[in-house]
Amino acid sequence: MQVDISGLTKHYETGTGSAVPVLSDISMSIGEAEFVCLLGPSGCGKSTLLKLIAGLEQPTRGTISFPGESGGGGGISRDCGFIFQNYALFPWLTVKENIRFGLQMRKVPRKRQLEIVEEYLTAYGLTGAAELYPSQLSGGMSQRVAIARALCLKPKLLLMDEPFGALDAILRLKLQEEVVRIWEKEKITFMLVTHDVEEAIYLADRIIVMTPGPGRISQSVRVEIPRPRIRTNSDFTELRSRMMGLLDGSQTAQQPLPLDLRHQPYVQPPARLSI
Amino acid sequence: MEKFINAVPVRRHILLRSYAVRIVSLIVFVFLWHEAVNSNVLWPLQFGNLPGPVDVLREWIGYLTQTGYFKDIGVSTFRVTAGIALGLVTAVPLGLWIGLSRFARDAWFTNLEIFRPIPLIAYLPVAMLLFRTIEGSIIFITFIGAFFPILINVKDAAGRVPASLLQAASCLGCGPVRSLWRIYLPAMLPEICTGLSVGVAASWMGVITGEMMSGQSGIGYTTWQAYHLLDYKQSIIGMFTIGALGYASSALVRLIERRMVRWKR
Repeated sequence: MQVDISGLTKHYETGTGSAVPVLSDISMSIGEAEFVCLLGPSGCGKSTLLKLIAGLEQPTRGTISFPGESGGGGGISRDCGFIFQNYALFPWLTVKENIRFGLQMRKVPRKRQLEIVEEYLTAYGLTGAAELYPSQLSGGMSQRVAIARALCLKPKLLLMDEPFGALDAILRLKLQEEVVRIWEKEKITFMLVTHDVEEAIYLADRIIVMTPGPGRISQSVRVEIPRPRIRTNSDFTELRSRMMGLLDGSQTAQQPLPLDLRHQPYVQPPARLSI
Repeated sequence: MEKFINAVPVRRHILLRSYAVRIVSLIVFVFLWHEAVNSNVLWPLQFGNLPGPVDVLREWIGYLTQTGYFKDIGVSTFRVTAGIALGLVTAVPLGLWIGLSRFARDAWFTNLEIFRPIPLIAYLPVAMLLFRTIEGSIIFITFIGAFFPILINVKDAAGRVPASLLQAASCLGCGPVRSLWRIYLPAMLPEICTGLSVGVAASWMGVITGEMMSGQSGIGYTTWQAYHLLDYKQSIIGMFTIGALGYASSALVRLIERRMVRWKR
């Protein structure tokens, strides 16, 4: 699924009536089956951006559209799945019932529901955990349930809000690998929010760097390292140190990159960045 | 492995001792009661006026073969059950509404806060005036007892339902009305149970009060009536019966809670 965002601005109303700008004039377009990471420090509005795309919140100004989708833009699209920071599994439902929830909401015939649930339990190695409650699951398993719950509805866009935030370092690496595998298999658009440079480089086709106060896009960096990516290879470490420099500000120095991806389709990679 | 083998007898030993202490303490209580009555203690308390445990027990066993005793229990239990049922179906939706909407909070909560601290017994005159039957007024009292604890718990719980769960449900296609059933209600279930267990206790207090003051039936009525008829054994049996009923109903609530909130660690 393609996503076109133009002039997106979001203000939050405070109790005293003044408006706090969270996102300011965000424009970008995301291509079919692209893996995009939104990278930035906390408070840069990257999670808010994701929620706006999901239709969980409404923009103050600007538009989000999904070219080529019959459902049109805005609103809660049936075609988009969301993975929350702490997975937001329903604690009172078993793994099986969690996965089934969305199918019930969509009024899929009962028999078909159970078939689909079985299929996803098997595909995500959760067969043995089917009757467990979320409180009995490890972090990795919770993530798999969350992904299965979202993907069994066959979304065309998967939005992930810092999905590895709460995990230990070793598990993180494993699950990042898993997410790439899932993305390659499903061939749908992924958007993932993170504040971890390495994670972004490992996962993304394109990294959109955001700055806070209010949230803006400062850079858009294409990652052209072939997959599977190896974190210790020179192309990886090189890009990482460049990105690091970019993030701590030493190399940006207010000079905008000669690159505005606003309405450039994904299939036309711009010239390699000279950051 | 060895550790486990050793651990079991130690635990069992502690458990056995714990049970032994409980039984001995019960025996000591009954014995002291018996002695205090038998030797006609009049100071500082007039134990001499009370019937002894043996007499009470003998009388109680007699009751167990009579329908009247069980009818009393049945009548009171029905009143409590009716009050709790009414309390649940009113306090849960209202608590949810108050918890979620500022308007509802402003509109309802001040009024409710005025009524909440009033002891159940103080509702009785108004209850008698409002209802045509004594039955109605007693059930009203048990309802009030159940209503407020459930309301307060639900109101707080409604505000604590994690936003992420609601958003997740919304992403999965669950609209706001369905989320009341599918998200709010199950998420608030532990708090509803907490309110329920407090409410059940208050409800029992209410039914006994109501029956003693105005009733013509029920275990509370019989307990008070027996005092007037100088049948003190029956009063004491009534007391213990009320205690047992209260204990049984809170055990029942705990059982229901454990069944329904299995997902909680």
